[in-house]
Amino acid sequence: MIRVAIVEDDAEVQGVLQEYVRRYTRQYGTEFEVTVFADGVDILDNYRAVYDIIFLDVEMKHLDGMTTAERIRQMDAEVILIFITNMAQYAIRGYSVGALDYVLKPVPYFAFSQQLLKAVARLEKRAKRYLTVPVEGGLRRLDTASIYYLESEGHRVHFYTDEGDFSAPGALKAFEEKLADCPFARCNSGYLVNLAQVRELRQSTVQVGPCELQVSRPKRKAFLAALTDYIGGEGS
Amino acid sequence: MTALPDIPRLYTALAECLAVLLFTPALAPRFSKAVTGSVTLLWVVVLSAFLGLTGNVPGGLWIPCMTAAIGLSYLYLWGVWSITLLEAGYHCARAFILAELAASVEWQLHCALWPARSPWEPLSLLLLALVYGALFGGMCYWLHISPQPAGHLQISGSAALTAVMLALTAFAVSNLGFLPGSDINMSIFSIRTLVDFSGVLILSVQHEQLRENALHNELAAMDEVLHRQYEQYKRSKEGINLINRRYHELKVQLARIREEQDQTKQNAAIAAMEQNIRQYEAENKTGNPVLDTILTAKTMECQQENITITSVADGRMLGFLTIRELCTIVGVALDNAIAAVRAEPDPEKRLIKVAVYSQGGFAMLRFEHYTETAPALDADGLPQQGSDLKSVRTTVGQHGGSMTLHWENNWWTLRILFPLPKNK
Repeated sequence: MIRVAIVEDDAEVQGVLQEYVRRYTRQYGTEFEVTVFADGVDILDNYRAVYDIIFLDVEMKHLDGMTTAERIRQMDAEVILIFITNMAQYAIRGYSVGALDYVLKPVPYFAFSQQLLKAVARLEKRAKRYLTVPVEGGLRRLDTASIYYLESEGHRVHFYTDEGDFSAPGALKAFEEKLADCPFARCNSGYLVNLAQVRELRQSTVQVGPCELQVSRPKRKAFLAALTDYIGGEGS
Repeated sequence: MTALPDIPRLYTALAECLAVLLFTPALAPRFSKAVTGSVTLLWVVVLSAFLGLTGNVPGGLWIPCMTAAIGLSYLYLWGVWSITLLEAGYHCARAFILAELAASVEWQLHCALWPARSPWEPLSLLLLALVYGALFGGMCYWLHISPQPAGHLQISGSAALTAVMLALTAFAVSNLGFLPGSDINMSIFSIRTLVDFSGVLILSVQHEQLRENALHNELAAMDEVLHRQYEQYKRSKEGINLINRRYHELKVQLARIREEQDQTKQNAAIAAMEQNIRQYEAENKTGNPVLDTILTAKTMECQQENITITSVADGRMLGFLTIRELCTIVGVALDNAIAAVRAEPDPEKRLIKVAVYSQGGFAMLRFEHYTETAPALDADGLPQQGSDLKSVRTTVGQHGGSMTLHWENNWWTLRILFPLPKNK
């Protein structure tokens, strides 16, 4: 069940969007739980980070969509925000709240369904982000987002994470396969890098969290392509 | 007449190093300052030692030794500075002939003034400093005052080949007099100096031409954008006049809609009004005037073709791209997207999305459009139609960036990543 909020002051558009969500469920089978708010003020009142996707009208009476989005972002870094607007172009503010997606009014079903499809795919991708690693005395459940990189050391793999470093038995290749759904790529044969932690790229090195790693010439092209897809894929 | 001694090899080495270092400030280093500095120092030492040690080799080995010395400089240029093998050849040829000229002039003066004096006496060294200083200083000044095109000077294969051939010819001709068996006298020195001088002259003229071509291209690109800017300005002026007129019309229309009893007619009239209003919403501010212009023009084009385009763009960090580069990237990407969605019969499915943003030390430009058929790709991984993408990929590569293309869930996505240059 995916939790959707619709923040829209026009009762008619509210109805249209709710109908679109139902139509989407009939088409793709995804179930939603929809909550409707008539203004930015209403959703911010006692806001809890329970929604997966929020559709936000940009022009509203009391609190406009952009300001609402900024306040929501302060409390909830994860939720996917999609604006509904009649402006053809958005400049800088849309990106600052991590909302690169919006649909134009009057909202056609097709554009709406495509946007929802994309958001649902992103949610599914997010779900797979824990890795179980065998360590001395048991298994360790690791949030992949906290990893900087993995280094191959003989028959062991060394983990560098923002919660400290440790090593586990196994081959780098095996962990690479386990992490196939997460944004990881090799910058040379010995390092598997979390692309979400890449800060900067220089001629032959890459800054991953606090570490500077060598990028080998043979791996450079594929590494850059993976980084391009990662940075250009999340959209927030 | 007694045979004159030839140029001391350390003099040659110094000229060679100075000449190469004269051209390097215009190039971007591959590595950090410390690495670049230490490799440069290492190269200077190795080259000097090599030339010094091979000073007394017999005639037959002289050519292999010179080739090895040139090879060292070539490898240094290519290895340390971010240029292609061809470009390294071009710079190496220029540096080599300039060094030959400097060494030749200096040694001719030395032999004319004091044929018997050792090259290591203070007076000889003073002459060395004066001649090299004047020659390289003058060249440096000249390079400094001539306007440089923004970004990387493109050196084509043929230009590089011409330069290398010219340098080789000049070198061969200038050294003809030194074949074993011939007497070495002042006239041979003069010929060498003259031939080297013409070599430097020709290569400088060639370089000047390349530079002017690059400047000209940049100007042409700028003209195009300026033209568009003017068009945009004209459009907004027209728009404002239209709005003033439409204000009145809208009031009349609104009054009529209010009186209208039939719900469907009322809705149709409102929809028509909305369509009109959308025309005026194409004004765009992204923080980069070039991006603004292109996006605005393309948005208007899309509205005319019944294509829905949405864009979220922060262009503030794109200043490191030249106008021409940005025009190429955004223009080509959007033209391709427009051409593709235009073929879609259902107007609801003619969707284009643009996102431009920065994340960490990177800039991302993403262009997406809806298309139900997978585009056919050529062997290079680019769509068969719209080979303009090749120039986009070249431009992206010149800035150390990367471009990817994907077709997934009926969406065709073009992503371009640039590592952001520091201190800009």
